[in-house]
Amino acid sequence: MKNWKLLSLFIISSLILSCDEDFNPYGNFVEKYAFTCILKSDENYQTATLFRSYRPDGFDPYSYITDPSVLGADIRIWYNDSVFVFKDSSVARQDTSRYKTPFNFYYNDKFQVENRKIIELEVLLPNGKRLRSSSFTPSKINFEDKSDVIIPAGTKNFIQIFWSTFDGGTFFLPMLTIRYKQNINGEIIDKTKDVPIRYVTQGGGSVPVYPSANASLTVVYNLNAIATALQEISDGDPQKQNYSIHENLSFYLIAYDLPTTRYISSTGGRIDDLTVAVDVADYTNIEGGFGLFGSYSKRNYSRLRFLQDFINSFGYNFIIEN
Amino acid sequence: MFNFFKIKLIPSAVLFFSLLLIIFNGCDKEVSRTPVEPPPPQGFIFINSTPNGFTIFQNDRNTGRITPDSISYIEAGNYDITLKKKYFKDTSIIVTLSENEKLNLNVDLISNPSMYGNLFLQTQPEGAEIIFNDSSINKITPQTLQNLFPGEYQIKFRLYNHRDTEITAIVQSSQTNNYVEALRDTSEWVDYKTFNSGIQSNSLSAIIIDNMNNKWIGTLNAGLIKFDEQVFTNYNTSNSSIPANKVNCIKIDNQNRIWVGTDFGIGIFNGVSWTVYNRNNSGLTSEIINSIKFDNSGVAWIGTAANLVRFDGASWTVYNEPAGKDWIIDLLIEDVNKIWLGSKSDGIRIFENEAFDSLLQSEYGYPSNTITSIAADNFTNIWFCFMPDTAGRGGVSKWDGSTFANFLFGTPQNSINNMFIDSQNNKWLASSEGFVLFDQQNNTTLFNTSNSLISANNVSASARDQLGNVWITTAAGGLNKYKPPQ
Repeated sequence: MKNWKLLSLFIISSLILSCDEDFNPYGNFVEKYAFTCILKSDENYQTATLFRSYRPDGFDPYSYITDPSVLGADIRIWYNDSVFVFKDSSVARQDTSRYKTPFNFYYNDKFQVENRKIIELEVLLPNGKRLRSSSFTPSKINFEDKSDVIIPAGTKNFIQIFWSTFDGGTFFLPMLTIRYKQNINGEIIDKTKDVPIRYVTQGGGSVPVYPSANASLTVVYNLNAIATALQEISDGDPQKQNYSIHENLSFYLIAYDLPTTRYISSTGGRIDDLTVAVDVADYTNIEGGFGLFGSYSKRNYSRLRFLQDFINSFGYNFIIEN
Repeated sequence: MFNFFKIKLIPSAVLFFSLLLIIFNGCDKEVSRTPVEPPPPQGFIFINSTPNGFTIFQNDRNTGRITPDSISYIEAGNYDITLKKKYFKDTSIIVTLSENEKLNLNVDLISNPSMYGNLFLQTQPEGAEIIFNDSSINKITPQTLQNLFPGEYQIKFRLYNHRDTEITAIVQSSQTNNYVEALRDTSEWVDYKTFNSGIQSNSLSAIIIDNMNNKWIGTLNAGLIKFDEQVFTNYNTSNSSIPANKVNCIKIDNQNRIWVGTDFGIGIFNGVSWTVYNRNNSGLTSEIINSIKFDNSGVAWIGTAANLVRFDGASWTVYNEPAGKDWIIDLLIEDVNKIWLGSKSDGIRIFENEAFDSLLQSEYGYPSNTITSIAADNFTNIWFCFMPDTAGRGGVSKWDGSTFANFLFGTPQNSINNMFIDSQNNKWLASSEGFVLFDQQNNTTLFNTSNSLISANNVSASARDQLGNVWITTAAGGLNKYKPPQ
């Protein structure tokens, strides 16, 4: 009987104690790396960022204030039988509320993206880990003849620009800008005004809606939106003659490569080469880490211009250009 | 019996099932874990080469690394390491790297005979000395230079009475590269252009030679050039006080000072500094200076776009032509009381005893009304050069004191821009259709780009040095030295 009691006590203790284990909700921390680089076609200064993942002491990620950027990496891209090496650099951080040290980044100033080229990336981290990726640069954008060229476009209450490209599924980001000069106490200042595709009423006010990157091969700008943008140039200033609007508008179209397009579609956001959310798990094309390696090409549509009467109707001067 | 089994079997069964429970279920938890990543490979190849500077390819892929450098953090395995450099043969080595091995790879390219190449050097004519990277190697053409390390070499060919010719020769591994150069004969003609000498301009307007045998050359766009046959020294508006970069005429006074006529006044250079005369600080009423001559007293007589000016070093006297026919291109002082004036479109004028007179073309029949140059020979004849205008054609005319004798060269459009008469009474004519030697027996020899090595046909001026060489300026072809047969 005594043995039975001792045996029972051993079994119960085993059942209770054998599974007694500290449970850590974090699991084992494994350092990961996030690399971001979107190569540009409109300049030869390319930038990249490289960060490591981190684990704050508590549950608030913002309590971690050590700059997670990784220095000393060997970043190379292979393009057109040439190798381009990125150098590291830093700039003063504008927002020092979290990180006090300068913002670190990598750059190469001798490289410019051309259409339809394969670019390969290899990042060798100081600890020997490698990140790899590749990108196929976007095809050339061709603006189609059926695109509008004058504003206003006849009796239409909108203007529309069409384009085509060899690639399928590419995202495009249109940007329309009015260029003007403002006379401020005799000094002529060059300025620009971005034009939204439309305005929507929200909270009793009018809110501009700018185009976001999407797969459409056309963009439509509401004529009222263009007129409102023109009015906003001199909002509150009765001296309309101090404003001179350039005949030609600036219309740029950015075509993203497939990885960047996928990134944008996964996040639904606009993109900036240094503000990509590198830790998103939704999409990455970096083998061995996270982030994005992509490219874009930018093309200007130079045929779009205002009619003089339209500009004069706002009280503005008109700068004729060839 | 039943109780026995009850007592004996129940604890055993409980023990058996409890152990099973502990083994199979006791610690069974569903916990997801990130797979553990293997550590990076620690393989390492350090690649050095002799010489260094070779691009490292790893498995046919450019690493962008130049020897000496390393490929690090690589896995065990075979690697095809290729070293490449311009002009060199590729060198490939298969390297087997063990796990985490640190390997040093030293590649001696110098000891490989197939790395070297040859140069075959030939000139026309043969026999030129070969200067190899600024050093004489005591060899003449034709010559094959063997076992040279790949790269670019500066080769100069030097042959008497021929221009030194320099080339960049390329040596490639296991190849013989041929270079055949035609050397320019300088036994009669030497040309000096911006691409083959230090001359600062090919657009030249005037030339005069001082008693030190320096050549003073006026340009149309680069000011004044001094050439001592070694160095071209340039005086322009950026580095001196010369009034303008377009020089119309040059003259040397009895103090060996250089007088330069420009469209912005006169500049006088004493070898160190410049004195400039213009409307602001002199009696000049026109700053366009076309001709400067000195009389026996050293007084300067200046032909301008507006008048004739006398400058004795202190005071200025301006002589305006009453009839307004006053655009003087050149002048000649026959004596202190008689000065011949060549005008633009108004023919030949004479300033005698402080009065102007004309020798009209309609009366004397000389070729045109635009006189470009006036010179006197040893027989007191006065020679005039003409450019074509509405009144006539280009040519040369000799005034013997009573009549003009005309001499025509080339086409009617040929402009005789300048005449130089040497001590043997040879007339050297700078014309737009070439350079003409017109000797005292009235024999004519034309030098142009078709029959000689003169650099251009549009000749602007000439002068003869103390050695008998004739120096010729051209409007677009630089400077020429002509060595007449002795």
